[in-house]
Amino acid sequence: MSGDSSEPHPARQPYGARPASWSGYHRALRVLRRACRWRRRAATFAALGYFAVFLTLTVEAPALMSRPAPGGLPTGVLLALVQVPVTWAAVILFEYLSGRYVDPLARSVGGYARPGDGDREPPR
Amino acid sequence: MTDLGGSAHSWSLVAFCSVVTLTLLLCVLTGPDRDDLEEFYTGYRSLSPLRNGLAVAGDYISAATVLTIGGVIALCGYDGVVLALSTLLSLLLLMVLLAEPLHNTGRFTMGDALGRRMPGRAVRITACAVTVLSLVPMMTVQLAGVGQLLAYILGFSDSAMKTGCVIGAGTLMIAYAALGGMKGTALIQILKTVILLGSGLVVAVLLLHAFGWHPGTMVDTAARRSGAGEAFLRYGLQFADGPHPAADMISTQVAIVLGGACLPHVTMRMYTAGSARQVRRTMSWAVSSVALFMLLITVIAIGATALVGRAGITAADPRGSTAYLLGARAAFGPDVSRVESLLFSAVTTAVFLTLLASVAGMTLACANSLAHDVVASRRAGLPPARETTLARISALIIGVPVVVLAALAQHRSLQPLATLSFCVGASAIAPALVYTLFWRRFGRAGLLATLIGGSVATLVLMSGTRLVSGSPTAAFPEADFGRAPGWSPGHRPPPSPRPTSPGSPSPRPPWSPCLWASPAAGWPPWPAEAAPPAANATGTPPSNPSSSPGPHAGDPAGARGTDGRDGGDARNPDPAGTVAGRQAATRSPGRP
Repeated sequence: MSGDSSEPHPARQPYGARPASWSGYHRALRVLRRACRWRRRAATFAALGYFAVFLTLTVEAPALMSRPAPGGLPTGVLLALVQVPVTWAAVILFEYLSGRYVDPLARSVGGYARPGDGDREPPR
Repeated sequence: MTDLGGSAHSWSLVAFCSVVTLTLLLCVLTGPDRDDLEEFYTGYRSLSPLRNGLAVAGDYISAATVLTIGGVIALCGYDGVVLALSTLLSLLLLMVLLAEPLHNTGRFTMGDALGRRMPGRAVRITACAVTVLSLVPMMTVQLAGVGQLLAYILGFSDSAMKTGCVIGAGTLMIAYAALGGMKGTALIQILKTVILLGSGLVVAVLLLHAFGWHPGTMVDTAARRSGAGEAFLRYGLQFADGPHPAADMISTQVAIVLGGACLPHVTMRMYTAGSARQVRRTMSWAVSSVALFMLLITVIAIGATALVGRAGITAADPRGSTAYLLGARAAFGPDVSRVESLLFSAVTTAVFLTLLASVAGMTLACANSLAHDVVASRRAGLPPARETTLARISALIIGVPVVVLAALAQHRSLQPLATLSFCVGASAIAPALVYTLFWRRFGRAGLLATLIGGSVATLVLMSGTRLVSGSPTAAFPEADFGRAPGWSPGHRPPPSPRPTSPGSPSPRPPWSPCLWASPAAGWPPWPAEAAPPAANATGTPPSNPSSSPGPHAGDPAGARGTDGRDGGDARNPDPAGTVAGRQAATRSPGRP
């Protein structure tokens, strides 16, 4: 299970003046958090970026978007329809990368016993 | 084009009755045990990723989505396609950004996810209030549309009958939510997604087949018969009346991308999967199904415009919300065999089931939040049996006012309500979730400020727009809240803020003319070759004799050729005619 609910800055020490522990549980957790953060940022920026470019083109270059593309469809409609298979590909890629890079880290965190003092459960 | 024919009516009626019986039966059979809280709220975390994914897709594709997006694509072309894409992107963002953290932090409701870091009743009550505020408008919109839709499908026009339909559908939705809980509604959502995708696939294949598998021809024909010509293929028709169409368009899309998938009835399904991996797989199925559906609705709605023409679509409903059904009907051609009319009733059943299921899912989300966040958080040791009963009663408490609201709002413009839902999602729920999950220093005061501030700002700003008042097509056309805060009944409201051009026949409608303006409001602003006949300006009841399923209804351009279901030349449409049509449309004066 990817412990992803909070995002400490790596340079900042999480709790008080306790020195950052770079072994065992804490290290695994930190690596997992970093992996999750990168996955989240890359996927979000990719999805939003493509759509932002598409919207910008739509609004700024309507002439380009209504020009017929190869295949008979207007460029804008073609670009829009292409997004559906791109979405499918993105979903498959996201799942593959997560299973390849993030899940093993989550399993390794689960392999350590949770220390009694650090990373306590947030108060309910 | 509004006459579906007697056999279609009777088939649809039979199909509806059997669907209602079957789904109620399913709900009762799979409903949770009386004292099992976990099962009522999450369905035991027992759904497989595929089933859960179909349920998420079912929750996400609401009836408002189907009808609205279908209408916008059919009437505004490109704008509608972009709208469909933003809807899809919203779910994709939910998958990559929020799904797993939400699953890890939440238990039953949004209040759980927010209250995990910031415990306290204030947070939970606010979360419940925002949940209700974001979902009740959406439910009202859909329920209010039930009467109109059933009147169209079943072929009656009595106003009392429509109200009866609204009340009946409302009773059903409360029954689904109260009897079935999460598990029962999930089953209905799965059923609905499968029927919707299956029937949509058949219709889309038939439509593409009618155009000889040339999507380009279909789009060209649609552009010609939409009456807008080249403008159909570029952005701007939907927001043609505003001073800043580009800004209008971008802000609308941003609101939908940020707000669409954050609505609580979608996020509540994140809690019903077993592990983070299963959440991911669930969302993969959901995103894939929604992507397929967006492709299908694009093909069907563009096909509707290509075969029926703008006149036929606006004659059935000025906002085009029946475009999906019209496209399906036109795909079967004028002569309908028994199999075809069965298929068509599958399409109508899918839409009907979509309506019932999505409203039931929203009722459940509101009821769960009310029971779990507000009532159960007050007393720590509430026995599970009591809380389950409470959740069932909450479904009634939420449902009854919604039915009353929907019955009252039937004849008003519902656009501000639908917009309100998405805007609350985008400006209150989305930031609250993102900050809570990813911002370590985000505290309780910030959370409350985000939730309350976002909601209040949305409400205040929305009430000042011309969607709500101050224009002929607003929800309250007789008032003008935006321009004159101290307006009183004896005082004549100031004129419309946007000066109309001298030649303009009437004040312009608010920023979404395609969706909600009636032809009487002087819209569309271009001299369309397929302008609605005068008889339709008053919102013709669905009994127009000239509107046979044939594609030429009221459209002089149709006689020129290329559309062709009747002429039998659909497989080999005349490219010269298409080009000529497009050029003619380009030469036409276009929008002012």
